[in-house]
Amino acid sequence: MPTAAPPIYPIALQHGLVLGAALFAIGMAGALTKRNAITVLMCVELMLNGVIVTFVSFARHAASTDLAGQVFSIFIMTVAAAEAAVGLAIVIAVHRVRNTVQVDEVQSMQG
Amino acid sequence: MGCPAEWFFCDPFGRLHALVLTSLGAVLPEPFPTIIVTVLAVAMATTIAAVIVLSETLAERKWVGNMQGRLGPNRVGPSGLLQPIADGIKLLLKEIIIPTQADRIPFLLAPLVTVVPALMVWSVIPWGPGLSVTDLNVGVLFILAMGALPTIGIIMAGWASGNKYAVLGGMRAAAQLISYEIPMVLLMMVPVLLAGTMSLQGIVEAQSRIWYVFLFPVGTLAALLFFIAGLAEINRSPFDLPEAESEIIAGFHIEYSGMAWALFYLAEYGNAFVVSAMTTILFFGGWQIPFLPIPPFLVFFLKCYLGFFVIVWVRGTVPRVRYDQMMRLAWKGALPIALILIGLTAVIVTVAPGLVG
Amino acid sequence: MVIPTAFLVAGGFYTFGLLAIIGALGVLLAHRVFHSALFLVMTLASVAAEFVILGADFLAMVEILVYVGAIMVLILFGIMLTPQQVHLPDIGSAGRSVAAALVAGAIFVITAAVVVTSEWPRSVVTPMDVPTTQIIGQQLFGPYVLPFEIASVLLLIAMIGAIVIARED
Repeated sequence: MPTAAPPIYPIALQHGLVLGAALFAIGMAGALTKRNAITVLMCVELMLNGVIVTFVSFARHAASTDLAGQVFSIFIMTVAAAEAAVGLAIVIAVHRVRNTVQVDEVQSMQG
Repeated sequence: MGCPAEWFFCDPFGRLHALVLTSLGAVLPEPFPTIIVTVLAVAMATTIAAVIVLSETLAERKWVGNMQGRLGPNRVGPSGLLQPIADGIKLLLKEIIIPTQADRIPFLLAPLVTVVPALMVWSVIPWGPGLSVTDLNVGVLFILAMGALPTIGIIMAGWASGNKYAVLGGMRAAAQLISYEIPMVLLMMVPVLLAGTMSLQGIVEAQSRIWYVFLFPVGTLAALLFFIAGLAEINRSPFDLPEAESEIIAGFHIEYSGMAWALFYLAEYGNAFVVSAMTTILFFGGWQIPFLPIPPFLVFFLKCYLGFFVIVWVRGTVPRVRYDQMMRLAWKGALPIALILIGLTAVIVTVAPGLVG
Repeated sequence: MVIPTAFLVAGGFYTFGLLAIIGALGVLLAHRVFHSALFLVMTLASVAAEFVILGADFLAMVEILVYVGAIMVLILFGIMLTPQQVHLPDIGSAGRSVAAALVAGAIFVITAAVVVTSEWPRSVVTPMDVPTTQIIGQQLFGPYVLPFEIASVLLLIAMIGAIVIARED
């Protein structure tokens, strides 16, 4: 294996990246499939978490100790929080007007 | 003068630790002695937590009783000392009734989600110099994270009970918890800024010159507000609307009985001691006391129990606040003051770093 | 003898990785939205444990504090405030879910294949006990101060926007 995993730290770079890819893929499958808007939001959070795991993995195995991956992960979490807040506000507003949160029933502007 | 390390009773646990480590290290290869010692330390911390929480249940009932002009429990055992054991046996044997329309798995998991973070905090509390199960670099943040998790447990308990009143009670309790979490986080940053470290041992040792509560006005105000926010975080009087909702609407744990309810009860008393311990560590110097040769763990224990006495005192004295008054206090009172205090602390630490030692 | 420690670290990584993936699948496959949210809490907590194993202790605590303690509470509130009258299956047509599963599976397989077979430069594994909090703080107020300020403005905008959108008027 090209990436050396010294016996002291057995988690190679590939392990973390594969985990991040798995979380991202599962989140994407959910975001494309689910009808409930809140579930779609939760799957987007899953995707973002997959990305954060990838970044932290890179920060762990990077050549410098300036932890750029972790710093960027903080920004990702910030954006995720902002997006979750606004997304849920929109879902609640839509529910108040249309009394539904299924994404395929809120399509009066479609086409 | 303090408590010199050569005397046995000043640091018995340190000596025990060294003894166990060397004796195990002679027999087993390297990682195992550390693992075994850590497991033993965790077991000891959990046992101490359980004993303290049980004693608190009795202490509160007796103290509140005395404040209200009556004796507390005094039937079981000499002046009621075995009351917690009787309570424990009763709750263990009581049936956990699960309502028909309840969601079984979240209903049964909710007490665990509430109790486990309350117990995990005990692993970072420093009982003396070098005397904690582990000393995390991000100890303060760990305690905040463990304080944020029970909110999920309360929401689970309210929703999974299948009872509209429980859902409402759960939502109101969760709203109270998240409202007071923000001032608490900000106020916990004041000692972190003053000490320059987030590790709890570091904060205690940084107060060797002066305890942070005596740094007027920043430390005193921060300690007072932190105590109030902590009271609100643990649903204690005068902020115990989520529990006293039984008067008006059922609280979030109305459908719980037996051991499941006992776990919520234990979580509340455990959290009360943890809030008292956090106030002691962050503002009142932790295990330090000037001049007196008292062992540090005893000093810490007495300070924390004194803090718990103040919590019970407040409960017996102050009437319950209304929900909107409580939210107004959090958002319009505690939060702006906490922000101003952090700003002031940052200015003080930058401009006059020698002032706080 | 460092091998048992390595086993512990690897075992922890695989255990929490498995828990995270089980939680993610639970988000997808649960019948009720509330259960999906609880599975997401499980995933986020496992990911926080992964961060500790990957040496990002500050990030792990921030993940629990922000993601589990705040964002998940927000999502749970949203679920409780938008009750569903009918328990419909949460998925669109069967064809759509098969297509989505294929696409997601393909993305995972391609990414994993690329990751596993590519020649990464010989990695210098950074030591585990760097003071992450200090370094992140210095980076945030050093090279990354502009994104930091923009993130603050973003949070302010999100806060105001959420209040305005969700307000009853």
